[in-house]
Amino acid sequence: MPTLLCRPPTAARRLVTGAEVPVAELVRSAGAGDRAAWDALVARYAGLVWSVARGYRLQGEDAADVFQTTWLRLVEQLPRIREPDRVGGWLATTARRECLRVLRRSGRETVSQAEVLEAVPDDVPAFDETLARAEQREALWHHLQTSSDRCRRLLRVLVADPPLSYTEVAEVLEMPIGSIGPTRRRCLEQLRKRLEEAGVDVDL
Amino acid sequence: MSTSDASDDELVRALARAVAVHDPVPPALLDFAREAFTWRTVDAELAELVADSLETAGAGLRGASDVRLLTFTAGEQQLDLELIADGAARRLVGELTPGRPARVVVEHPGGTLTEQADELGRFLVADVPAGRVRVRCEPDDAPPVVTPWLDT
Repeated sequence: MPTLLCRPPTAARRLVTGAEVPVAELVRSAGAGDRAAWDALVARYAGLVWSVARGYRLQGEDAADVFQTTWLRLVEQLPRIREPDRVGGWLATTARRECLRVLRRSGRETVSQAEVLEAVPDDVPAFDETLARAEQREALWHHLQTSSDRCRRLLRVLVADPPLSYTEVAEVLEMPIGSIGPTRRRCLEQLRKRLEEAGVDVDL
Repeated sequence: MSTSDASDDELVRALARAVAVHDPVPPALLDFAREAFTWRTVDAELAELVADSLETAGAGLRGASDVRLLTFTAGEQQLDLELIADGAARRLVGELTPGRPARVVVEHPGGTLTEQADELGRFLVADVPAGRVRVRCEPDDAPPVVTPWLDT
């Protein structure tokens, strides 16, 4: 029995980010100078590129460096992208390579002063949100950050906003499409177990 | 869909909300990505990095006298670059092969620096801010060539 893979959490949002236009067409139009097509590509994949950088636990300047360089590389390579329909995978691969570059660099240079993960801005709860829900979210965030590298990277990509198609997720993670479901299930199981151990109610 | 699939989906949705609140793409970076489009070059050939002493020797520009050597090619044109640490700045010494006079523009996020390569294709650009740069060469008698962005 094949496993049902993730369903995008906010499918409706894809409509406002150019998902109805085939991505290959966006790449070609942007390559031909169409700024609106470029903006649509940014809207569609910025969350993905960010999730890769953050999946490597990069922070502050380092995460920004990876994000910026990745988009500059895409601008540079636009006319040369061989498979424009797989630009999501291309961006993720490029971002990963840049993460490794930044990690190598920081391994050589003096380590910048530690920035605390929790310093990421905007933990203001929504207006009518219950305290319990905000606390659950805090706990989820914390336990996601402390998940294994493999699980954190997978889960970050799975919750990228706007969501990616299954095919894109597989390309981005360089995993066979059939193993995403089982890996996702294992990672969620581990996460749920740790949340339960910490006494966090996951069924809000 | 089984119960556990449904609860997995619910957990993923909760994670998505947590990430959206705790770690959205910073707005300034979104702006950067949109603006990156203005760096698009349509009139220059992108040179390919074929050698980088940073990759082979693993040595970065740490000391005051460190040098990084890079070689690019674009068609028949070769560009050799020496990146020399000069305090917080960088000095770029370059040579075009075949040697030919050219206008050389070093682009960095804060602006550009322009120099002229001599008849042998040699040039020097001083006071380049450390960080992200690329070099654009416009020979008098050949199409322009631009390097990829480099982290200096």
